[in-house]
Amino acid sequence: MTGSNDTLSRLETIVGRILRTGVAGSMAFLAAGLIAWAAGSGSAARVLNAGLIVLMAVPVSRIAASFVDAVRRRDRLLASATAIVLAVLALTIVYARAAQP
Amino acid sequence: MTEALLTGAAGAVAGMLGTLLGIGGGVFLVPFLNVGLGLGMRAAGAVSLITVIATSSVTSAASGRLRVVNLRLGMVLEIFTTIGGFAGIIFVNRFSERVLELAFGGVVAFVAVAMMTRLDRRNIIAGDQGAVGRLGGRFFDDESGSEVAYRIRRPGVAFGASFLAGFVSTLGIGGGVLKVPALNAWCGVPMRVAAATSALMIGATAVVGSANYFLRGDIVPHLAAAAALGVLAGSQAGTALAARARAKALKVLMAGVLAIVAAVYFFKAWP
Repeated sequence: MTGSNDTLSRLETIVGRILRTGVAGSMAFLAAGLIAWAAGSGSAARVLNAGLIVLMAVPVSRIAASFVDAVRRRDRLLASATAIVLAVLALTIVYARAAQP
Repeated sequence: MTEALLTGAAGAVAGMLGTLLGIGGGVFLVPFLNVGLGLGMRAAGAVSLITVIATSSVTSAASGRLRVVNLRLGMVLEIFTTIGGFAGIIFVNRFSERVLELAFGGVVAFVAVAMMTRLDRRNIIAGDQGAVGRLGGRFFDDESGSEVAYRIRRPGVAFGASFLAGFVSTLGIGGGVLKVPALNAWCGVPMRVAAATSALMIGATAVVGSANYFLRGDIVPHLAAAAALGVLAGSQAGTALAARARAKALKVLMAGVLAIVAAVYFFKAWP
């Protein structure tokens, strides 16, 4: 990620790891869940949903990691922007739960 | 069962095309699920958004991609994209199937046009002594073999494009196709930076729509799973083919396909 700061490459490593393991974990659940569903197993729904939740958590996690890193490096612009994005994401969840059909 | 297999296959095709064309597979996947399998716009969009998160995360993790991402710019723009997404979920939750179809048709038509008129500017300040401002950046440019700098122009356009991209993303597409050309053509961002930054941020944008659909029960889990796995497989194939495929001919062909899709949707939506 651009910036004259070399410590940003540490964030790159962390973010890369989050992205890769998150997707891999999610796909493992989704694949297992799909097989369970095909076999008519009762646990399929839970496993599938777990996979979906893990996947949705990936971008949120990496943003949270960016926030922590920004605070550490006293990058106020990045820290504020990241905090606002996390707040909007939280708001979305609150809204979606409240506005159930 | 057939539905799941077809969805997986459609995902693979969408993933491959998306990677080859750089536009994301949503524009192909949503029509397939909606028109082909008869899923409603919300259900189709929901499945597609799940694949967007997967694609965004995987492509961003590829070696070297994170290096050219401008995280500050991306995050500031993401404020507007997520707010746009929030507006989008209110829109999607409230309006009828027909309105969603119309909106989707409009976006696809725009994508078709955008694909044909691809602007590609380098946007580089000669010598890395240029002042980059708070949101600009530097990266190592392989082409010139040196570190280059760029600065952001017309931030208002970037904010607006981001908001719009976030809004339409709730229909199930990535939104990058709105953001990247705007950033590159009007805001002074080099192509590689715009593309990488957008690809990373799109995952976060997709969470807005996905979370909404998930909590409202609009996601069909086994189809989402099949689609996600398919898309990832397809994009691997797409990356492998990218070196050999003749991008220009493919783009013209796909722009044509998208134009037809847009026409189908306008036809569908009109009473």
